[in-house]
Amino acid sequence: MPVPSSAYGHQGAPSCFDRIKVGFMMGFCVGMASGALFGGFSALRYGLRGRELFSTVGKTMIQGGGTFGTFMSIGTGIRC
Amino acid sequence: MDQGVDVIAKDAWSPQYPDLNQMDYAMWDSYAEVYMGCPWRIMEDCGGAFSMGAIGGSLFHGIKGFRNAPSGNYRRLISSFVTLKERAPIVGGNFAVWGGLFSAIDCSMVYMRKKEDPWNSITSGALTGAILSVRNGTGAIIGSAVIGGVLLALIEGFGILFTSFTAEQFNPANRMMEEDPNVSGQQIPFLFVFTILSGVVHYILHNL
Repeated sequence: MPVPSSAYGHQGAPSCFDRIKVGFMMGFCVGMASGALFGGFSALRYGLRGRELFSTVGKTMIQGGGTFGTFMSIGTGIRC
Repeated sequence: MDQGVDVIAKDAWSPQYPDLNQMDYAMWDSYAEVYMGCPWRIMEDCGGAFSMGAIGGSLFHGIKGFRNAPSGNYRRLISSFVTLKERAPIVGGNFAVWGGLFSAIDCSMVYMRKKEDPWNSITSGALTGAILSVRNGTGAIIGSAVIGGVLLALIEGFGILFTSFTAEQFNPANRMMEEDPNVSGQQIPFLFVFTILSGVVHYILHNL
């Protein structure tokens, strides 16, 4: 019988590291999305267009994803 | 509204939970107490948010202090430590304020609305943002409320997405190979995580 894949990769109770990984993943997703939204709006308001706009928004997205992911992994880490 | 309950209730809130749609008022009170730990969750979230902010703040401000220092390894270390010491508790405090207020509003919403759905947290996030910037004028209030609401909506959406993603293994076809659904079904207490993460808004607003 094939083992169904999950975010944790295996059956049974997930280990602490697995939780932290999923926490980081979720934080990264949220951070990317919010970075795209808020960074995009503020860059547009600042008057950036074209290539500049994309590079700025991309940077904001990565930054937000990293920040959110780090905090989220810490948040799940202190809980397990 | 019922939709949200269903989405969350599918896997993590497995059979030991009561049917949310069939409960009367008295049952909702005990539900909030037993399953959400309600009055005490506020303290718990406050403390958890503080620790998280303090740890994350030490990380980020340690790096910042290290980079913002005169040359020389010793001086870099000293600067890193000084910045960390000054700033990390502030970040922790910001997180704690956010998490505590958020949790308090969330619990109040469970008591008042007799419902448990993503709108609770979204509204709580917006209200928290609004309340925390109430001294900065109408524009700031609206801005923070929008940011809080959007962020919490994002978190809720990704939470539901992740929950349904990790719940794939619990569909009826695979049910038989599952020994203990209570242990492996509930991976992360998502409500707590939402609460905690909401503190990040404050950090982002002040530092980026």
